[in-house]
Amino acid sequence: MIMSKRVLISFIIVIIMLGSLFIVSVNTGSLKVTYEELFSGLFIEYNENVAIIYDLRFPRIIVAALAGAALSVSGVLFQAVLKNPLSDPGIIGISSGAVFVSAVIVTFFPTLFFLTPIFSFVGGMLACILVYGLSYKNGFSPLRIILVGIAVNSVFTGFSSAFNSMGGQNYQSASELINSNISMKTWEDVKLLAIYAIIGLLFAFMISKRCNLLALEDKTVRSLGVNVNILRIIISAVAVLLASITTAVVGTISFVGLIVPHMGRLIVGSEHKFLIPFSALLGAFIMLLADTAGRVIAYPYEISPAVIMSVIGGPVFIILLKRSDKTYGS
Amino acid sequence: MEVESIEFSYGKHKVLDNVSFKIIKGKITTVIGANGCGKSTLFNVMTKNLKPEKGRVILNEKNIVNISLKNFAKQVAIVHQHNTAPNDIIVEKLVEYGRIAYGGLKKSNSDDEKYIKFAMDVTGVSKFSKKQLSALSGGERQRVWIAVALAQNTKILFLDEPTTYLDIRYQIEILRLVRKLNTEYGMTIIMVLHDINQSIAYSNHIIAMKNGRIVAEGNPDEVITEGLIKDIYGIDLCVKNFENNKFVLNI
Repeated sequence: MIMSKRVLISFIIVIIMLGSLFIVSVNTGSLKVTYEELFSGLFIEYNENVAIIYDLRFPRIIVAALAGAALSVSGVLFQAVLKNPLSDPGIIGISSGAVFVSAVIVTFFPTLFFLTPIFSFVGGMLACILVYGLSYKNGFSPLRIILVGIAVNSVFTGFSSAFNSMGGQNYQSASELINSNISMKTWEDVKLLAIYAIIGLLFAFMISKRCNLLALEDKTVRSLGVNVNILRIIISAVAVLLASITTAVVGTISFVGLIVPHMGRLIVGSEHKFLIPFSALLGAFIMLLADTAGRVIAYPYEISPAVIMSVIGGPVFIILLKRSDKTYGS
Repeated sequence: MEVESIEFSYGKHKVLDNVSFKIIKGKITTVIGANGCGKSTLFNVMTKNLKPEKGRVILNEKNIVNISLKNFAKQVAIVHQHNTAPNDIIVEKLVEYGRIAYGGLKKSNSDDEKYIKFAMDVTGVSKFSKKQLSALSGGERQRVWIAVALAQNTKILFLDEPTTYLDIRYQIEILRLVRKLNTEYGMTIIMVLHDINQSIAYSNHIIAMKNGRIVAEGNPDEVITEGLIKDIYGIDLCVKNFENNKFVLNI
C-alpha cells in the first residue's frame, strides 16, 4: 500500500516535533549552555557543563523517548489482539506483573540482577496469561478485559508494596524496581532499554501486516488460512516484551499505551504498517514532553512523567470509554 | 466433499446426530431447517471451525481435520454470516486478504493480481476498489466479502446465510451472483439459507435438517412438500406450483 500524502506529512511533522523537543529538553534545567557550547562540547572540545549534561540529561531523554515508543507500540498491539481500544499495558496489569516478579527474583537471587529484563518479561507474560485466561468467555469482551486487568493490576501492585514494606526495601535492587522512576538514569539504562526495546519494535514492525487481520472476525481470519490463536500469542508476546522491558527501567507508566495509539489512529488511520511506526514516534514525543514538562512545572521539584500521564490519561480514558459504548455496546 | 456420520454436542445436548451426506460437485447445495436444528453447527464442522466428536468430513480423500488451515483455504472458501473490518480499510486491500494462504501478505505476484482482479470483476466491486468499506451499502459490502473468498481461487464456496440483513433487491443480487459462480465458473456451492423459496429457486440440491438429523435430501422440486414443511418448521403452509416452479406460500 502506498503511503498517502496525509500520512507522509504526519510522519514528517512528528519527526520534526520530536527533534525540536529533544533540543529543548537537553537545555532544560538548572544548568544552561548555549547551543554553540553544546555542539562544541559534544563534538569538538571538552566542556565541563556539557559533560554533565551529557551524563545526566542525555540518558534520561533517550530513556524517556524509548519508553514512550515501546509503551505506545505495546498499546497498539494489545488493542489489536484484544480488539479493545481501551487496552493499555499499564492498566491491564502487565507492567505491575513485570515489576513484582522481577523484584522478588532479584531479592532472592541478587546476583541475577543483570537478567532483570528477562524476569520482567516472565512477570509480564504471567499477568498477560492471567488476564486473558480470566476474561476469556466465548471471545474477549472489551469491558471484561478491563475489569479483570484492573483486578490483576491491583493484586500485583499490592504484592509489590507489601513486599517492599516487609523488608524488600533493604534490598536496593528490588526497591529500585518497585519505586523506579525516570530521573537519575545512566547510559547503562539506555543500553539495557535500547537493546530490548529496539528488538521489540523491530518485531512489531515485522508483524504489522498481520495485526491488520485481527480486526476481522476470527472465523474469517481462519477461513483465509491463518491460525488466529497462534497469531494472537505471537503478537501478545511482542506486546508484553515491550511493556515489561520498559517497566524494568522506568517503572509503571499507564495511559501512554492508551492515548498515543488513539491519536495515531485519528491521524494516520488503522493500517498497522503506518500506525505502529507512527505511534512509536508520537509515543516518544509525548513521553519526552511529559518528562520535560515535569522538570519545569514545579521547578526545582520534579513531577514524574508517570504522574503527568495519569493526570492527563485518566480523563482521556473516561472519554474513550464513553465513546466506545456507542461502538461496542456494554 | 463427503460428510460421514458426524456427531457433535454442546455439553449433553446433541446438536448433530449421525449426519452423513455427499456434496455434489458442480452443484448448489442448500441446507435448510428451523433455528437450532444444527445447520450452523454443521456449517462450522464442515469449515474446520469445530471438530466433530465422531465421524469425519472428507475433502479429496483427506479428513479435513488433518488438512492445515492454509491448505484448506486454497481448496475451500467461506463467506461467514457476520463480518467486521476497520472502517477505513479500502475494498482492494480487503480483497487482497484472500491471497494470504498463497503468501499474499508479502509482495504480491502476478497470480495474486490476476485472482484479485477476477474476484472484483465477477462480484462487480471493481468500480469501488479504492473506496472505504464503510462507505458502501450492505449489499455492496456483502459482495466485497464474496470477492475476498473468490480471491482464494477455490473450487468450493461456502456461504452462511449470505442474504441476512439485506433488503430484497440485494438478496436477489447476491443469489444471482451465487448462481453465476456456479453455472459460469463451475464452482461447487454449499450454503445455509433461511428463505425457503429462495432455497428452492437457487439450489440443485436441498438438505433439510431437524433436531440434528437430516430428514430429507434431494432435488428441491421433489423434496419440498407440505408434509416436510410441517415436519421441520411445525407449521402448515401451502405449497403451490406456478409455471413449473414450486412455491411455499410463506405468509
